Amino acid sequence: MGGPTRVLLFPDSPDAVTETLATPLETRSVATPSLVSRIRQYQVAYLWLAPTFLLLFIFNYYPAASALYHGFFQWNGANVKLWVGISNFVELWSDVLWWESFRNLMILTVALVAINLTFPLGAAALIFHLWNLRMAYFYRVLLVVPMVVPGLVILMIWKFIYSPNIGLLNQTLALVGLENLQRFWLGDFQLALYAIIFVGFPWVAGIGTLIYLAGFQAIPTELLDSAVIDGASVRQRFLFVELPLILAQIKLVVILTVITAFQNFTIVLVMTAGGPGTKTLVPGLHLYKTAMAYNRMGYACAIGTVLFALTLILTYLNHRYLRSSVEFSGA
Amino acid sequence: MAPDFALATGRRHTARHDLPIHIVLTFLAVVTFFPFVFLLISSFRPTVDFTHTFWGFPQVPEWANYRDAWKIISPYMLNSLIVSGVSMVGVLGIASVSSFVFARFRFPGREMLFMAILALLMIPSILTLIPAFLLIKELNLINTHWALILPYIAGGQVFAIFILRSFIASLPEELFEASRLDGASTFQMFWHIALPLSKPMLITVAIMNVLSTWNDYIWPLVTIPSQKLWTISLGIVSFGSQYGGLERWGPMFAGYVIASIPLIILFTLTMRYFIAGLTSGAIKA
Amino acid sequence: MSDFELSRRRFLQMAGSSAAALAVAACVPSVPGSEEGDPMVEVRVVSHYAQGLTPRERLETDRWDPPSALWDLEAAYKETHPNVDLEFVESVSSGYDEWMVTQLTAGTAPEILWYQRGWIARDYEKNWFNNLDPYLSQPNPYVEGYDSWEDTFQGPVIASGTAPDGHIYLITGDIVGTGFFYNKTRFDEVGVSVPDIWSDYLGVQQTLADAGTTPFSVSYHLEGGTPLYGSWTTRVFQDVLYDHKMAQISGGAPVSRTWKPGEGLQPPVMVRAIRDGNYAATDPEWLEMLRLMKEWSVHYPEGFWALPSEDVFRLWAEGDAAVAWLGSWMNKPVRNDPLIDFEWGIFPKMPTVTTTTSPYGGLGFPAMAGVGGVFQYITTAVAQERGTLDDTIDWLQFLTAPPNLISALNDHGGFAPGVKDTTGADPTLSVYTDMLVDFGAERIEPFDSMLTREFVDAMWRNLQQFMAGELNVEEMSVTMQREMEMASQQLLNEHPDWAEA
Repeated sequence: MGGPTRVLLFPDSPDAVTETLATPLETRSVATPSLVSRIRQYQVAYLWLAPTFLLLFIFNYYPAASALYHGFFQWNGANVKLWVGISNFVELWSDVLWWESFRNLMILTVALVAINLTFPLGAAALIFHLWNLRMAYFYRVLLVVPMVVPGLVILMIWKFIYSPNIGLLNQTLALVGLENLQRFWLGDFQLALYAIIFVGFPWVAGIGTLIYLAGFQAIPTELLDSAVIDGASVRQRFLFVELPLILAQIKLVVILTVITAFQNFTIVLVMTAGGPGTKTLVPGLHLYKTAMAYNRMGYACAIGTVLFALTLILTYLNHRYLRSSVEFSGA
Repeated sequence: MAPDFALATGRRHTARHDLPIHIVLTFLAVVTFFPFVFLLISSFRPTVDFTHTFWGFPQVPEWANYRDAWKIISPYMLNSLIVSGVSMVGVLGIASVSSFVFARFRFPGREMLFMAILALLMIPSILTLIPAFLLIKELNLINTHWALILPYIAGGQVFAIFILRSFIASLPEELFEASRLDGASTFQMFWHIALPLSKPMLITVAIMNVLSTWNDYIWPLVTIPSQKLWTISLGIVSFGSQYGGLERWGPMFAGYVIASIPLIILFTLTMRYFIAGLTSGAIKA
Repeated sequence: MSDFELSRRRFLQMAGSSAAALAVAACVPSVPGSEEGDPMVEVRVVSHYAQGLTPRERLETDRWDPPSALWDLEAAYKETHPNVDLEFVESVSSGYDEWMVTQLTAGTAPEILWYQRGWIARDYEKNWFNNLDPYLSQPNPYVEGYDSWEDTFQGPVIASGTAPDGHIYLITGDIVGTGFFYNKTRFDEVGVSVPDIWSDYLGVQQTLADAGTTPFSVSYHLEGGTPLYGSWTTRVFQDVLYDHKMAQISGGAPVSRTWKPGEGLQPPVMVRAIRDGNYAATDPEWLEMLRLMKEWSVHYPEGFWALPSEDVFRLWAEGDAAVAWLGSWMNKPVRNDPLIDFEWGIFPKMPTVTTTTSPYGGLGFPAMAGVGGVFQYITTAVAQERGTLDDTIDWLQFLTAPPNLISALNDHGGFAPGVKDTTGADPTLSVYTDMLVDFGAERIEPFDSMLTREFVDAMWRNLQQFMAGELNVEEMSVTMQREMEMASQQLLNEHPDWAEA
């Protein structure tokens, strides 16, 4: 363990970390003891976890379980609460809006994952490759600052950037003689969803870039040095040395992106309300409308349950098939 | 690492090497900052100008926007500081203990419990709004800051544990081994080794937590009917209107800028650790 | 302030007479004022979410006095009701749906809540708010000369708060007027004048367009635009086009434009009309509405279905559009905008669709004024549990006494009084009340409160697509007919008693 140990922000499994990086505090038990005695042996661990789980049970698991449970009810948020079995889920299967919104969500998720695998990664790589350390630090600071402003006000500004008549985008295009590129953006039935995706361009400010930078900086110096000595070009170094070594970070970013894409509907609510037509409707907004405008709480809970299950499956698949660089982690 | 080459090759060489990178990064920074610069410029724009010269510069800066915004939102500043501050301390306290346990003990059910925590990240918050609200009402917490603080601590620890656990797991075992040989207790190892070494990551977690609680809107809106107890994000919204055309854009934008200032100060004070926490994955053994 | 002095004097006059009225009308809820002076009496709190009327202090950047009349009225009220405290809940400009639904669900709502009539059909069976019929049928102790509280309001105004069960749950006290605000300077430059009939109007728009001005500023953005402009357009057009079918739809007498509670086309009526084929999106009248809307939209701003609704005013104020569809709530912003550098006016009425334009035309449009703006309040069911319902009702009766209501609405400046006696109303506002009196209220509201909220959203979604040219007339009418049948079937399943009148 001569070189620096590195942080695995999202290790393959919790066990992987302890096996490769840290050995458990208590290692005396050599023979395989019974489960009961092992639990007793670790009572202090359970005791220390108690505050966390106490709070989680009251404020997180209970409301979540209540919501999932109500997916099996016809519930209006007031005086009607009838057990209807799986009929909410059956209805969801034939709900045109659900499928429309799901289709949009898939496009959105793929696009956002693609974006988060390129722009923030590129920015992080560029910063990492700067020789001037002071400037590198300066850029990192710069990328953190936008995180303090509430997203809502930024969305309002983007809405006006896209306005078809006096929006900044179309006006700028006219100014530089590119009138033929003018569009109705959020009103274009083919482009609207992509206009939503484009919000936040160039997508480099925020946690993604910082997570990638963490990965780059944790790469053992010896590996980079030897690559240079072997005569690797910058491109080769990036593709064959650096990239494989930050797979764990990539995986983390992908998971966070998927989770955000599945849950966030504020952007659509503020900018298009799902329009034009249903072109930017997402399941989160469908859920929100169903609960808050139609007061069909039971059905809303069913939508939420399905969304939760889908996120869980996607996270698992990502976890399973995007193999991380755990073999390097002991370097 | 890259800087080693820089030391070897001198300043002029560095500048030449970095130039193309600077060009790209500057472009990215300019585009990224446009909406924020626009927010700042607009916060000096008289409200009536929002109808007429939306994208231009205000001819005379309207300082009154700031005076009005301050008058309205300053009473809520303290509330926000209390709520975000207490929540942050709570999250750090509870999450660091759990993260330590998850990282350094191999107890039965560890993976299952950890996954159970992670699964919470995937539950859409709008789904639990009403059940959570009814719960807060049953607990008689409506109209108290506890209605915000307790759920913020409970929810905030999820991401905190997610990040802190792997950090503490990456701390070299030799340190713990040595202190164990010196007869240190589990608590002493937590307090004297894990916590001090995790400082950058703890600060990172703290800031991430403050960011999410400071700007939260819907939850305080529904749980805090009494204006005296409002947080800052609720105060700003009073410049809006349910009738398009009656918004008071100038003070509203100024309010958003003012509300960001405490966070920017917090960032400035802790930037070194925050950047280190999020970006320097390496701890020298 | 002078408005307030006036209302205060009148209030004191009334206070005397109302005491007498009280003694007679035993059914009227007891006025706590009779217990004044007793130090042992507990002070009861009535909290009131007054939306746009929520009083606040003037700030430096305010261009006009913000609403503060409720403070004055509160002070006047406290003189006779010292043991009732009023609490005005701060205005919630975003997240109101979440706020309202959670507070009503948990029973933590204020006594008085701002509410919209379009929500009544969704909520009236949830026991969230109170049936106000018993109070409305009795005289308002603060008003003289009317048999009942209900009778002090314009018929369609108070009737708009009627639920499908025939009871009134919502006190509506004001009118939101809309109008075509036109740029007189531009009209003169181009050489056009305000048209009387629809075909002339299309000509005027063509002339304006040829002169390089956007003829009409309007938005069909799904967030804000469609629910506003789509709603008004479909309502007034259908009122005219379906005029000859009113009796057929109502299943009884034809509805008049001065309809009273119980005469409107409530959801049960519409559900039966849809079931029996007396009202359908495939009707020639419906298709005619779509044709007229589409024809008109040629003169809307480019990409109007993506225009943020804030830009409707902006385009007009900047002189880019010659006419904008604005309304009474823009009264103060328009009058207090020193940068509007042209003369402007409001069309006195919407140009009439004559029989030469449409086979179903001929009748003039109803008032381009909807009922209910800032003054639409329910009393929540929790008021009863808290023992504050009587105080709540009494405060509302006090507030809706014409002089008080008018002082509050004048002070706000964006909505016209919906009561019969409009003495003292700001003339820039009373013009909308007059419109309602002269032209009447529209009788049919095809979407807002006709069926379910899901149907409303389906309507706006499809209307936006139709206006943007993504759906043709056939597709639109077939789709909407299907949605209409689905929604009315759902309502029939939930309310089997609606099947028969």
